Amino acid sequence: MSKSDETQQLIANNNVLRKDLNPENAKYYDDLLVYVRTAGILYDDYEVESRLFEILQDILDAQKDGSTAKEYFGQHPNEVADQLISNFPKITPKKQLKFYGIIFGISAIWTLILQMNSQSRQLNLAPFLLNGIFLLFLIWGILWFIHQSVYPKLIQNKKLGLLSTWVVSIFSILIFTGIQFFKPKVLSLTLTDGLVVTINALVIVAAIITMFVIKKAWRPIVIACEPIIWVIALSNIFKLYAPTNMNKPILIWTAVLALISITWFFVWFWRDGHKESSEKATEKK
Amino acid sequence: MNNSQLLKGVLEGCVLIVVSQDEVYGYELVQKLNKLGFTDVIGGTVYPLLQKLEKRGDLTSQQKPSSEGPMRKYYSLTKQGQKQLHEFVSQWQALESVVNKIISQKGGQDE
Repeated sequence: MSKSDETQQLIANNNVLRKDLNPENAKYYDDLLVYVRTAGILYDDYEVESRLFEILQDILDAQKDGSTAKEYFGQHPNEVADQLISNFPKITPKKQLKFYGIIFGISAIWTLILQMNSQSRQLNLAPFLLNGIFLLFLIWGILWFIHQSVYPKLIQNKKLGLLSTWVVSIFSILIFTGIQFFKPKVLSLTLTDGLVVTINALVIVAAIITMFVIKKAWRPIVIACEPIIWVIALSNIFKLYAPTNMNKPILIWTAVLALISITWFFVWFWRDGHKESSEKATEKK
Repeated sequence: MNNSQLLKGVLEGCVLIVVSQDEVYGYELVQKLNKLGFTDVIGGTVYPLLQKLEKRGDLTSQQKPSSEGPMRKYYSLTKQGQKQLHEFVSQWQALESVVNKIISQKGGQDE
């Protein structure tokens, strides 16, 4: 078993074992779990998960012996967690690079699709870079925010917390939209028909390959997004070669197929969630 | 005994001694320490300590099936840990005799 499989196994075992905690201990441990998991993106997953699982097993032992998680682990779990976090090893530079690569890859596919779908026949490189950076900041920001709100230090007031979440969301949408219009001429490429076909074909191929190589945990979301990507990329190619009077039918077909794809996206998630909750139900029996 | 700085260094040495007798998992270690007289030691004190000792190379850990069935993370002493243990014992004995001598001369009282 590879280390990343072992990590997945630890997370799965943790999910199952956590159900044995009594409500009071569950609240205590869940807070600790979220606090530690959101501490950073670049910590070695295996180290983090094996430590969390070890603590869970021990809290369950304490529970069996009649003590609470608070009695066993202490009054200030955040201080203990901070000590543990500061000693977690970081992932190797190679893995860090891979992580950034995935983030920029995902944002590049979306940027490409957005730009290809416009009529201008221009490909601007600026949004590729900016979208990637922005996505990275967004992930980092969301984690930081959750991390801070578990054991509130920064934002004590719940309403204030909600308000700041709302402000951040609005700002994110504004920035993301703004980036799409930021297209300095220097970084613009004019596309020939051949390039449009090649790039869109590559997007489809890359999307299919991703489906097979991506980690198991990410596969559902990739499968859910897949049809939307195919439909848009294919319509970009068809638009080039179809006679002008076919423009309208192509647009209608794209819209219909996109609608089906989006339905697929939600059905997939609904089914996935449904499966999980029915599994939980059978376990309880 | 409270959780003072003095205790922390001593606890580190005692953890090495306990682990040297038999490999243990976290909860087991906390219980053993409690029984030995460190009644205030809790999990929250022990995990950072175990992590530190493992990082330094005094301890090593391994997933093994426990007596009750499921896999547990068992800690055992490394060669370096053994050396560290001997160092702790000799340092402690030297310190103990000095401290005891001072206490017996001064009677341990403020004058």
